[in-house]
Amino acid sequence: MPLLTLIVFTPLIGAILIALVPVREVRVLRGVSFGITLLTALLGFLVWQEFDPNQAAFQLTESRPWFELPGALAVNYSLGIDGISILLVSLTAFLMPLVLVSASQSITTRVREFLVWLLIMEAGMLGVFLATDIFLFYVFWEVSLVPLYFMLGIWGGERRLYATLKFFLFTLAGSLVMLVGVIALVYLSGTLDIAALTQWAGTQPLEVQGWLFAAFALAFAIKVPLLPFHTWLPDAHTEAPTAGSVILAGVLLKMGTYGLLRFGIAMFPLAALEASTLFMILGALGIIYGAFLAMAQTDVKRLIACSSVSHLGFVVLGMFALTGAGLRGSVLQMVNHGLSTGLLFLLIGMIYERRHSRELADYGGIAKVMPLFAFFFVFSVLSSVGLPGLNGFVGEWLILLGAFEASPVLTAVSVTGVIFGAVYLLRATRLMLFGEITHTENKTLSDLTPRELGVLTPICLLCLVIGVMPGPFIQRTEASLAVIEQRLDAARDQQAARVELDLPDDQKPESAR
Amino acid sequence: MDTTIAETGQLWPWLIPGLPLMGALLTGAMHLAGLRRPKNDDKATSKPLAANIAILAMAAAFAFSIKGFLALRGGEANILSTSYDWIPTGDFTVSWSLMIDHLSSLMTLVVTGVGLLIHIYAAGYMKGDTGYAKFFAYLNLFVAMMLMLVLSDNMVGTFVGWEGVGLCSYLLIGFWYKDSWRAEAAQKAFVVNRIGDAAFLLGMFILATTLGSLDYSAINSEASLLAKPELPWKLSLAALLLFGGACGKSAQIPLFVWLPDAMAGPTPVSALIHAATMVTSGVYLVVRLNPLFAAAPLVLTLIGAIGAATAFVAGTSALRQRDLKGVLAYSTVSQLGYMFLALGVGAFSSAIFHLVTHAFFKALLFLAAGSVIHGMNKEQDMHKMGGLKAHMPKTCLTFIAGAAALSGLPLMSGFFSKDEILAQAFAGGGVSLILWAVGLVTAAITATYTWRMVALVFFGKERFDKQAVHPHESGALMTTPLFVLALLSVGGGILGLPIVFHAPHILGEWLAPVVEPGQAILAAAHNGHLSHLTEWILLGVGAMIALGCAHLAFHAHRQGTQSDLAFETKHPELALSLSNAWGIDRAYQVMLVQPVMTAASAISTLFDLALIDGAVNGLGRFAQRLGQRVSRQASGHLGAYGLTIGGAACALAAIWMWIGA
Repeated sequence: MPLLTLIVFTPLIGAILIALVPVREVRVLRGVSFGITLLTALLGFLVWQEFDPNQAAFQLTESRPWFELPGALAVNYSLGIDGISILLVSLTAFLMPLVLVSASQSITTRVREFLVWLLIMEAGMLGVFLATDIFLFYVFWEVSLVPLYFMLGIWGGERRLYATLKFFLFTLAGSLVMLVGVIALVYLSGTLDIAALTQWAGTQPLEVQGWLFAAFALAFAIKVPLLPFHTWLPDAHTEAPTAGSVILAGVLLKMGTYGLLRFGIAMFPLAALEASTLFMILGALGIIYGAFLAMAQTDVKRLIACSSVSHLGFVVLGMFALTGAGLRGSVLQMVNHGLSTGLLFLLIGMIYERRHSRELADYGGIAKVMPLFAFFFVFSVLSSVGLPGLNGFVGEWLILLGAFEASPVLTAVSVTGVIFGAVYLLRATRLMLFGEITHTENKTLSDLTPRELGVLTPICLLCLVIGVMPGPFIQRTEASLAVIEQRLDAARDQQAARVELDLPDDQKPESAR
Repeated sequence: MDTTIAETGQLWPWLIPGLPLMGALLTGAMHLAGLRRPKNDDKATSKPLAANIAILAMAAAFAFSIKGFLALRGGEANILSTSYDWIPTGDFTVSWSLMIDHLSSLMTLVVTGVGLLIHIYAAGYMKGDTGYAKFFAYLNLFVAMMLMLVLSDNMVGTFVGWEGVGLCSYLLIGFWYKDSWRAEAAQKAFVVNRIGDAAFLLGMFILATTLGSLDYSAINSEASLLAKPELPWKLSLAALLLFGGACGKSAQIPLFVWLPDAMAGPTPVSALIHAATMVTSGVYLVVRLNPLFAAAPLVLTLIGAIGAATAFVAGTSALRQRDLKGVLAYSTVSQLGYMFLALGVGAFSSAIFHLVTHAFFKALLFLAAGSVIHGMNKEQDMHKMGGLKAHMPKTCLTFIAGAAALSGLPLMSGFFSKDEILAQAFAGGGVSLILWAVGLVTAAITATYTWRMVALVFFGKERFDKQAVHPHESGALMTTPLFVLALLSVGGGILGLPIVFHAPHILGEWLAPVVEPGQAILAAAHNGHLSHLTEWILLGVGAMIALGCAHLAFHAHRQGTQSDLAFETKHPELALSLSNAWGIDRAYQVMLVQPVMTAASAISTLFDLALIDGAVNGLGRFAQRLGQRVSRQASGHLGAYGLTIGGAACALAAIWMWIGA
């Protein structure tokens, strides 16, 4: 059974179906879309079950010739999954039905269009993580960006046009830089197969690896986003409808970190070693900088957006530590951030629908009238600040441990993010939930509905499961990450040999003379 | 160490933290279910049930703690219980596993025993509160986390409990969240603790990367191997950072500022979390890792100095509190300082001895104070009390028992434990003598503020508004735990009688297997024992100071508030500074909190919005203008096109030739 094709094309066919079906009942359209995402989630679960944790290379692979480029370059439609992508594929499939349910209340205009974009986005994101042909990857990459553009522009907040344009330009710039990288890579290597490209790139000298790495890293750094390319994110998050924010934080940003790992570190280990310190510094800076931004916000949605900058700083820090623990932690933390920040955006969306404000000052004392909301909000905050026993801790702890092996100083700097994270999130919690109710509008707010509970509860449970029993999640990534570690070790040897070669003859060790 | 671990694969130890955890889940579910019920429904029916579940869970956990204790007393082996792997790091794996050894067994007895009494008391104290079930859910969760902290056989598991108790402390300080000052106190407690936790994390990373394991048995044996003059500085740094974590949780200078504010929580919480158990985690951690700390003598010295300084500073602050819980809060900080002083001179088991007796008498004092506050309609100002002896005889009697133990009146539990610490400091000689002197002065201060408190609350004239307040004794549910604790506070000294009494030091012998590795490392530096005569003299001096100061303070304040007011009018500034813990908290506000907040808004508005986003928007505008300019060029004048093309061609040719040359 071509499981991966099924999982990518189910939402795509669903999108076409929704677009064409001659039914005008919004309820029906929503129901059908929900069914499609649920089916995709089921397929995702099958993939999760089928996945063999012991195999490092791509598995469940499919490949068909697509067309030929000049120079006898065969472009294939080929899909595969490995330890780097399994968690993200599962996360995407898991989140989408919940996002769809959450949107059923907030999106009331042009519902059909919205559903179509949502489904196309899901197909695009899954395709990005599953493509094993670099051309196909690029196609999916672009496909997954367009829907958010429309979601922002049509269903966004007051400043949506500014945010949309900014998002579009930043993304476009990144895509173009990546396109240059892709063309150069294919031109030099003569293949489009990602596994073959990885093999080829690893054998190249630093000069070649360096430039290619730079092109890909820049493109993905914009997507993550890393300092100083982050300013599109708070605007996009703040203006996007809840569903858009959740997907953006949950999955789309992970395309950046995924790319950094798949195309940056795995492909160009020599260059990654050279760039390791730079990226760790950028990660650490992002942690502190994002936290400081978050501390100064008065708009709660913007605050969470800024916290994303800080949290993704952790992911980059751990990833570019290039150690076993750091890599594991960063891959796991991609999922954790998706869950905890997704939860927070969902909750803010729920309160926004009731109160139509994102200003912290408009709240206060909500816990009295919305105790269930308060419970889930505090839970999500705790997951986000990395309380042990919940998901965030496992990832953060592994990242910091791995980073410590590489650079104790940068880790010591980054660990302050743990403190600042508590400061801005608990401040937001206090201002929203605690104290007396000062605004009369807030006295009549209704607590979460069963439907909203149904959206939040599965995510919270998953947070708990990953926190207490992360084994099954980490194990699935281990084999593929071990290969990356081996490649890094080989590159380290090569680097050491290079240094020795550069030494004057009389200082060389015996063996090299 | 590893020779003592024989039994593995037993799962019953998990019931010790597991039962309170299940209690928390059950009562928490009851609370959440209650939320969905209509408001007019009679919720009172479910209330006793929540308390009963919580109390039952505690009793069961206590029973299993006793089982662990008896098992250890019967045989030799520590009980290890591994369940499953938690975090595979690639280099080593952290597992969920518990270890009952002589130290953790003792801690579980204290936590579940004192915890059980406080739960029973709380069932009475919280009656009528709308968050009754929620309160017990939090309280049970706290106990579960505290037990995880002391039972885990690796540092990461301890850290789960460590932050877990911090969370419960946060939730319970802010339990009455409608008052924003309580919510602020909760947030402050969490953040200050997190500063310590960040240090804890770094210390853990040093140990993990240098020793390749975070199991206590591995760390402690490695550290004793490395206990040589050439001890890697890394391990000293790790010890220092872990002590930083201990400073946060155990409210030592410089991170003590959250504890006085934490009194915003309900009084049973203050007794359980902020006196008897959670705040002693730092002491537990140092004793748990005693070989590591013993091998880092400089850090040990620092611990002693910080402990002594904290004991003194907080003690002087307690002298000038008017809030009954305020006195007890600063007193707790001060007593914790004693424990760290003990650790600093290498008297690990003495620190635990004081931890145990302090858990008895300070829990008692808090609960009795709660009984007073309960009977006085939430009044906490001692200047508005007085003469309560007649109205609350049971509370008064038990409070005096606790006060006697705290102030170290002869033969009370606090007398023996405090005296042991002072004797150990004296025996240490050298720098330790300074610690001993500070400890002795603080003992005098302790007796003074304790008996001032007793006099102001229970004796003298009644200073409250008799129309509004009708003080009354609390019910049996609340007073029974008081009597049990009073008994323990008075008689607890039997656990550690001084050598000169020619009785066995029960606690010292019990803890010997745990503290031996550390003691062995320290033995080279230690000066040995005191002569019996010196010890008698020290005991006598301690007794006289306690009795004398207690007598003076009691009589000075028996008349009422005059002596307080006289001091305040005489030295207004000193009084103010003392009551605010020497202004340290204020200084943090001005020197740390404000600058960080200013920096945050500066970064957000100046740097991010103006500079980076300015550049982004500027680039956008530049592109727009450029586009406008360029579009103006497309004017349709063929001549202008020709000119441009020709000019460009010439320029290109020139560049070409220049490069070629």
